[in-house]
Amino acid sequence: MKHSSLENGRRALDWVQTRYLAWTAWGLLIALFALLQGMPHAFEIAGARPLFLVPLVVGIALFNGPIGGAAAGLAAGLLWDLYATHIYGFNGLLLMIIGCVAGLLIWLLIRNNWLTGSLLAAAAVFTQVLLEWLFCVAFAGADGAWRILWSCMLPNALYTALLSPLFYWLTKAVMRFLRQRF
Amino acid sequence: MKTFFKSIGFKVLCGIVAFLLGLMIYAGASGGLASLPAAVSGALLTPLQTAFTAVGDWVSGLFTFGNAELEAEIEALNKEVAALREQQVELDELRRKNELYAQFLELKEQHPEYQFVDASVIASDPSDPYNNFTIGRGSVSGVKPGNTVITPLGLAGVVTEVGPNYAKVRSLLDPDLQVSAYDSRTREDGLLTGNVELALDGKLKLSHMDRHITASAGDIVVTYGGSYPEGLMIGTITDIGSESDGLSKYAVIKPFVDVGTVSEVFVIVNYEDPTAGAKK
Repeated sequence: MKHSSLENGRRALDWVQTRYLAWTAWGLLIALFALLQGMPHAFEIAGARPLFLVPLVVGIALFNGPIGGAAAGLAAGLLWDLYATHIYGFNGLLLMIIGCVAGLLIWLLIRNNWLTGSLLAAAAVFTQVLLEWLFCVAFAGADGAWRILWSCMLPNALYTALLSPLFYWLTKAVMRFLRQRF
Repeated sequence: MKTFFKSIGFKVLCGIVAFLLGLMIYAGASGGLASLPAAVSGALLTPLQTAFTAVGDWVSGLFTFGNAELEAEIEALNKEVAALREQQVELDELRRKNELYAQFLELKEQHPEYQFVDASVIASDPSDPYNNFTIGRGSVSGVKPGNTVITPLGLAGVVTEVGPNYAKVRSLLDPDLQVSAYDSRTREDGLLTGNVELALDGKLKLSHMDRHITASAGDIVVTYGGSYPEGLMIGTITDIGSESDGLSKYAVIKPFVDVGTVSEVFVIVNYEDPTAGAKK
C-alpha cells in the first residue's frame, strides 16, 4: 500500500516535471520567435516581413489541444503587443482565440498532418491580418485603408503562409523530441 | 465539444478573455501601454531585443559584404586576405559610427541647449504600415512621452509610450503625428501630417497652407516650434497642390530621415513646449 502510493507520487511528479519542461521549451520558442519577428528589417523580402508567431501558435495548438493553443497564443500575442503600435492586449486576445480554435479544429474535425497543419496556419495568418486590418485600420477610419491591406498587410500574410509548413515541421520535431526525451 | 465547454480550462480562458478586454479598455482609456504587466514584460524583453537586433545587424553586415568577400576568398584562398577583410568590416562599422557621431556632434553644436540621449531601434511591428518603432531607452535614461526623436538628418518622430528601458516612437509617417512646420526659404507655414497614400511611398503632406504661397519644389521644410524644437529639418518639398476645397494649398514632402531604415536615433529629453501652459 505504502509502496503503491509512493509509486503514484513519483508518477505525478514525473508528469508535472514533463509538463513543466515541455512548456518551458514552448515558452522559449515563443520568446525566440517574438524577438525574431520584432527585429527591424529582419527576413524582409520586397518590403514584406513574416509574422512568425501566428504559425508557431497554430503549430503548438496542433500538438497541445485548445487549452495549450490558447495559452501559447496568449503568451505570444502579449509579447507581440509589446512592440505593436495598437492597443495593448489586442494580439494577446486574437492569438489566444486563434490558438484555441486551431486546437479545437484538430481535436474535433481535422486530421493532424503537415498539409492540414500548414493550411490551418495559413488560414490563421490571413484571419489575424484581416482582423487586425479591420479593427486597427478600417474601423479607425484611416484613409487609404484598402491600400494598407493590399500593399502592406497581405504581402506579410502571404510571406508567412508560405513559411507555415516549416512551422509545422518545427513544432512536430520539438514535440517528438520532448516525447522521446521526457 | 461539450466536455471542452464544461472544462475548467475553458472557464479559465473566458476569465482571461474578460481580463484582456478590461486591460485593453484600460490601456485605451489611459492613452497607451500604461499597464503594469506590459511595463514589466517589456523591461524584461528589451535587453533581449537589443541583443537580437545587434546580432541581426552583424549578420546583415556580413551579407552586405558577402559577395565581394566570397569572390575574393575563392580567388585567393588566403587566410591573410580573410583576416584583412574582417578588419575592413570592423573598420567600416567604426567609420559608420564615427560618421554618425560626427553628425551628432554637429547637431549638438547647432543646438547646445538640448540634452540628447542616443538610442538604438530595437523592434518594429511587421504589421505597421507607418514604420513606428521601439527604442532601447526608457524612463531610466530620462525619456518621457512627447520627447522629440531625431537623427543627424532631421526629425524622425515622437515618443508616445515609455517603459523603464524602452520607449515606443511614433514615426513621422504616422497620420496621428502632427507637426507645425514652415518653408525655410519663404517662411510659409502649414501643418505636417502623415497621409496613408503618401506614407506608403515614404512621403508626408504639409497641409493648411495659404493658397497664395510661393513655396516651390526643392525648398526645405523645418519644424515651427511649439510641441517640437524649432528649426529641426524635416524634408524637401517635391510637389505643390491645391486642396479639393480650393481654399488652401498643400505641399508633398520627402523627409530626410527614412524611418523605415533608421537604426540609431537621438531623443531630445529636456525640451519643454513653451506653449504648453497656454494650451492648458
